[in-house]
Amino acid sequence: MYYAERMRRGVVLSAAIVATIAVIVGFVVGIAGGYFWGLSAVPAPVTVTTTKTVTAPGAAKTVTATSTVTATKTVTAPAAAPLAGKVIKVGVVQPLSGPLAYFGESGLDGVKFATDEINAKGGVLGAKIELHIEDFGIDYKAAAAAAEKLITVDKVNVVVGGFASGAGYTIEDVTEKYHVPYVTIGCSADTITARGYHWVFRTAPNSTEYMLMMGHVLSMLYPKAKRVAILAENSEYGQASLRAIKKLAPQYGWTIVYDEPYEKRTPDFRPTLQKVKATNPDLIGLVSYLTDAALIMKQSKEVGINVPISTISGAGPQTLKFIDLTGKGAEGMVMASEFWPNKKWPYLPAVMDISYKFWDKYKRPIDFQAWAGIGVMYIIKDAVTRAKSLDHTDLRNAIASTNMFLPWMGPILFYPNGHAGWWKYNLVTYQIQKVRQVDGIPANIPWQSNGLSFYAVYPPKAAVAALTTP
Amino acid sequence: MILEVDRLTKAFGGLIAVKELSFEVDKGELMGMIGPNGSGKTTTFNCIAGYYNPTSGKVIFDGKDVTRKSSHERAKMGIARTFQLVKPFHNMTVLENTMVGALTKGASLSEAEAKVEEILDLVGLKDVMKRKAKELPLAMRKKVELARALALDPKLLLLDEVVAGLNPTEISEMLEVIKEINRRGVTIIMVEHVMRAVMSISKRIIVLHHGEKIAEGPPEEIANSAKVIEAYLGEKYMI
Amino acid sequence: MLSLEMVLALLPSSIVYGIFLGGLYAIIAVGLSMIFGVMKVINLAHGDFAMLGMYITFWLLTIFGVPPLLSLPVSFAVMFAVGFPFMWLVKPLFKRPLEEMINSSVILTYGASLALASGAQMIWTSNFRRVPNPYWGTTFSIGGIGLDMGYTVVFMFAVIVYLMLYFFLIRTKVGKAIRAVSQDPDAAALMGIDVDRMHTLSMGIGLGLAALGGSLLSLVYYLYPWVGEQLVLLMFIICVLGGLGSILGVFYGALIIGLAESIAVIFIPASIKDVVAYAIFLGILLIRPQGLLGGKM
Ligand SMILES: Nc1ncnc2c1ncn2[C@@H]1O[C@H](COP(=O)(O)OP(=O)(O)OP(=O)(O)O)[C@@H](O)[C@H]1O
Ligand SMILES: [Mg+2]
Repeated sequence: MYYAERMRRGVVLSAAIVATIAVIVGFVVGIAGGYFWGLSAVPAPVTVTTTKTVTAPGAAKTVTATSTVTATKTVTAPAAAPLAGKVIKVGVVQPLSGPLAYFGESGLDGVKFATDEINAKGGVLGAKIELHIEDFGIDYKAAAAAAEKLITVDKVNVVVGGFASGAGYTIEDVTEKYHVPYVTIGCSADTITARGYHWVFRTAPNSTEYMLMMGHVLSMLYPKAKRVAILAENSEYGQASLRAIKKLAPQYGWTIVYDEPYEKRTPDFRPTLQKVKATNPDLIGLVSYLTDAALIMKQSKEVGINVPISTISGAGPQTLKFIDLTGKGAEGMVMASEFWPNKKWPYLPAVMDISYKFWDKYKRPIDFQAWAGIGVMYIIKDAVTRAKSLDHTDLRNAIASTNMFLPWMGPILFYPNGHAGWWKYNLVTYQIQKVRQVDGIPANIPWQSNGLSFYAVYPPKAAVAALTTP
Repeated sequence: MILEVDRLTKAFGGLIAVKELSFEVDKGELMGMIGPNGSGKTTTFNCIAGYYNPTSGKVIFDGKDVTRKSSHERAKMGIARTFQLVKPFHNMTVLENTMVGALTKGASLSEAEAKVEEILDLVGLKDVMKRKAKELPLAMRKKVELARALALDPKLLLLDEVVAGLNPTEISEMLEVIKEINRRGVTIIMVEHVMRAVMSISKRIIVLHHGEKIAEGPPEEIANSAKVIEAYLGEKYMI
Repeated sequence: MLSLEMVLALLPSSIVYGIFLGGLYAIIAVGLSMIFGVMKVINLAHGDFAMLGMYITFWLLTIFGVPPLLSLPVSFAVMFAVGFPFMWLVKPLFKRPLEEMINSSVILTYGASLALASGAQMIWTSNFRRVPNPYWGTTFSIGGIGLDMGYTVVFMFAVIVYLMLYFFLIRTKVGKAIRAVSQDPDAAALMGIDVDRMHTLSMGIGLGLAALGGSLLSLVYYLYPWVGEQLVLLMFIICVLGGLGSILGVFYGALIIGLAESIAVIFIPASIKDVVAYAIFLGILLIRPQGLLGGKM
């Protein structure tokens, strides 16, 4: 589907052409490399990886190009750059066409942003990061095919991406089969890390975590709400979120009065909304990627719904686009998000700095997906630094034992199942409020729309504004 | 002379459907063209009307070489035809079907309507003009085609088996209409598988066999030609 | 399960919503049916031309400040003009036998669809956008049924455009010629009709209508480069349901699907309402394989 396949064909073709040259040059590099590796006393497995890299058609060019640099660098500073001349191949599988492209591109921009930064500072132990990008559109089977191609043809060291939980599922099946580490971007369904897999890692909060946060905040905002209707889209993400909501509802004294999934991306929600209205809810919760949420907000007025409607999970409503599409009516809405600059951070200037740099470079606000993309690359950088190896198993083990602290991110740790723990410090509830000067966040931030932006309101240690009842 | 066909050949791959066929038709003539199945009659019509481009040879109409002209251009110049397998516009009414012809001649809608009613009167379709073509029986559908062709104000009318499949009363009715059209000055070439029909109204007949002209002359001469009888081989009774 | 009382309470507004939705579907789908009717080309890029119409409206508004409704004729005209080069692209198909032609047209127009959507993503990025318009979110109510100005305007224009199209095809010379070509191109040619020209013209009109439908859609829906592929399957179903090539049939087909989707939601979860559309589609095709008004134009 989409141009992933065409791109793939193109890549294979050019790879074949380069391969011939690569074989010849490969010997020279292999011998030279082996010689110098020998000098710097790097363990044998790494040398094996080198050979692999050289024979991999896709990477041949890079290897030849950097071979001379390798030699000198390795000799002069062997300890600082044990991977000099190597390439860390990162396979990125994202939805870059189709209705999810907006998010897929955001995550990819994050990955590129971090990659450029890391490479500009000399890479990781001398190795440069090289991205191999694949698009799967909305076809989750294509996501698996893309992962398979990245692993078997491009011989990537690690796979990242996914965005949609449905894609996360198919990708993790492949990475598990080939024993290649996979760090997701997005993919919040609880079950992604509940299948007993060893090669998948997720930095995003899961559905239960979003729900814990939202349930808490919504019951603060609407303490009298008892009857709650949930409009969740019929995707992996939507249904995983719905399960989490239903499980936790009693804890907030909620009875779920409506939980029928809805078909994504239809222009008309009115019949559905009428039915929701007929169930007499006190509160309506939305689980939707983006446009649907905005449209439901709008059409609920037509149908005459006047109980509060709130998003109740992650995804699209935490992007600036949501305010764009919903317009002024978005004011007062709350949502849990793992990232927005507008909160009390331990290192606010650093966060603002990154956010502005990102804005300048990609002309889009740094959002939860871009953020995840950046985070993922720094996690990989950290893992490679500790492993001093690009071997799949070494990398996997290094990622599993991640224990890092990034000033703009907080502590990062993974549970044994691969789910990250840093959300605990970072998952925050934001409320859409009028843009203004607050606590180190200027009023002229570019990430605003209709005079509104997201402001952290809960928990108190992160809050820059007070939670107000809409 | 309104039509001159000069060494016309049409091949479909290896099959030569029409071979070096030459004949002329005079203004106001009603000429018959007969021949056994697959002898190339319809193909000849198709080449004259522009539905096929001939493999070689020329078609000269009204003094102009039209061999490479497209069918709609020829239609505008005055060549009209009916189809062996009737092809009226099924979902249009009889009136609309006929108007299509008149409109392409540049008439306005109201002019076309007036003109068309006259034609429908002539062919005897006035009573059913508001009905859809597909709802009519075969004889009437054939007349619809005829009316549609007439609406083009043709100088030359090519009729491809317009009486085939009709019963004797319908046949004589149709032949009357054809004679009347001819009397009004339209040159007609009439292809017929059944000789009897042609014999009765045409002054001159040409006979095709395997794409070649094997005989030409007045009806009685053709009917007795040994070559023609042989071509029809035992189908003599048909004559 | 809802009580009977509840069902009866929901029904009237569901019917109204269904009719309005049907009007929207009809205006987007009609060009698809027309192109098939005249040329036997299945235009899988139809939704993408609608998408371009949406962006035309968007650009005219954001760059030149043209009110969305005034952009309707522009959308139509621009895509009408695009019909000529597009025709040139599909023309080689007509040399092939019908069946093969239909198959190749699917492949060719699918390619065109990808190219258009990817192109749009390059120009406008994958961003979701909204055409700000005064009807958006403005509601009023008639007899207790809440209505959206946007949908009402869309429906009105859909009906107007439909009437114009109908008049054009039935009452004008060119319209008659187009219908003649759609029913029998060979006979039409021998009737003095320039079939090629009618093909090009119908392609222009078909794409123009797609864009016009898109412009109308932008009054009530978001635009993004891939919105076309979201539309095309349903549009195709509507056309087949109404009888591919039939203009009036498309309207009925769209109303049926719109109503079915709206009413079904009362009884079943909204996520499977498309199943109802497909079921009706299959059911009607079993009884009438040629569609409701098969082949009429
Ligand atoms: N489009 C075509 N492709 C290939 N062969 C064709 C085509 N049209 C006609 N033929 C062949 O050319 C020959 C002449 O056919 P044509 O239809 O002209 O005969 P006809 O004299 O009209 O016969 P009939 O009395 O059956 O109508 C036949 O053998 C026919 O099979
Ligand atoms: Mg014949």
